[in-house]
Amino acid sequence: MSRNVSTTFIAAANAQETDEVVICLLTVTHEDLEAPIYLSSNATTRLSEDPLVYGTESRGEQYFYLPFEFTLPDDQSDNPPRVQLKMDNIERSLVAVLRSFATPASVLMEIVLASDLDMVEITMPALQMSDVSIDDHTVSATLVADALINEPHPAGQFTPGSFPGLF
Amino acid sequence: MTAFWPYDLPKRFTVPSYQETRPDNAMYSDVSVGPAKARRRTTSNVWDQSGTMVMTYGQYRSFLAFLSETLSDGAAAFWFPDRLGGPDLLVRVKEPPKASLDGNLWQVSITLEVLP
Repeated sequence: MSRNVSTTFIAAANAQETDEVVICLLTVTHEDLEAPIYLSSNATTRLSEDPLVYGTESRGEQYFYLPFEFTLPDDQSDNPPRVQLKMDNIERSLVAVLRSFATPASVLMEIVLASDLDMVEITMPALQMSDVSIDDHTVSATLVADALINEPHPAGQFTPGSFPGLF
Repeated sequence: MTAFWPYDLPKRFTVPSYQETRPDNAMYSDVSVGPAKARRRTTSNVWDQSGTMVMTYGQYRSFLAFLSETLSDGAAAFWFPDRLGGPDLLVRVKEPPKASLDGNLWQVSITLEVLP
C-alpha cells in the first residue's frame, strides 16, 4: 500500500541528519467517553503554566503530552495492521479509564512533522485498542485494525436459512 | 499561580560549584557500515543545572518551607533566575537537596531540572 507523504517528510526520512521531529498524535474515542482523549508524543509547546501542561496544537485541537513509544505497522497482505504503543504509567487516571471500558476503544493515529503541525502525513484510522497490559511503570497496548479477514464475505446471501420470510 | 524563587534566598549558585548538563536530544540509528543516521529526538527537552548555595540559618529555614509547602516537596515547578541574565527559567527540583554546615552557614546542594 503506498502512502502520499510530503516531500519534506521524504527528504527528512532519507537525510543523513535532520532536525525534523516526527510527532505521533492519538485521538482515543469510546462510547463511554464524553469527549475524545487527545494525546501527543511530543511536548511541543507549554499549553498552560498552572497546571503545568505540555502538548501539541494541531488543526485547532490541543493534544496533551504523554510520553509514549510507537512502532508503525507493517503493510502485510495477510495480516491486519498492528501498532505497538508503550507509554509511561504516570497519570493513574488513565488506568481507571482503561479498566472502565467493556469494549475496545477506537484510536485514530496520525503522524505529523514538527515543522508543519497542521499537515497530517500518515493516518491510521479505525484502530482498536487491544491487549492492554498495565504494570507499575508502563502501559502497553496493541492497536489493531478491525480484522476484515474474519468477516463473512459476501455479507449476506438470500437463502432460506437467513431469510425464511422470502421463501 | 506558578511560584517564584523567594526573594530572600541567594539568586545564584556559587561559581566553583555550578554545573549544567545539556539535554540528550539527538537520536542515532546504528548502521552496519558508515556513519549513523541522526535526527532530533524531540522539539523541546529538559536540561539540568546544579550547584551549591550558601545560606544563613534563616535562609535555610525559608528554603525548607518553600520546598515543602510551596513546591509540595519538589513536585511543583517554579520560576528561577537565569544565570545568563535572561528571563526567569521554569524549573523543578530534580533531587532531594543536600545540606551541610560550614561554620555558621549552610552549604545547600540543589539540582534543578529546567523545563521547556
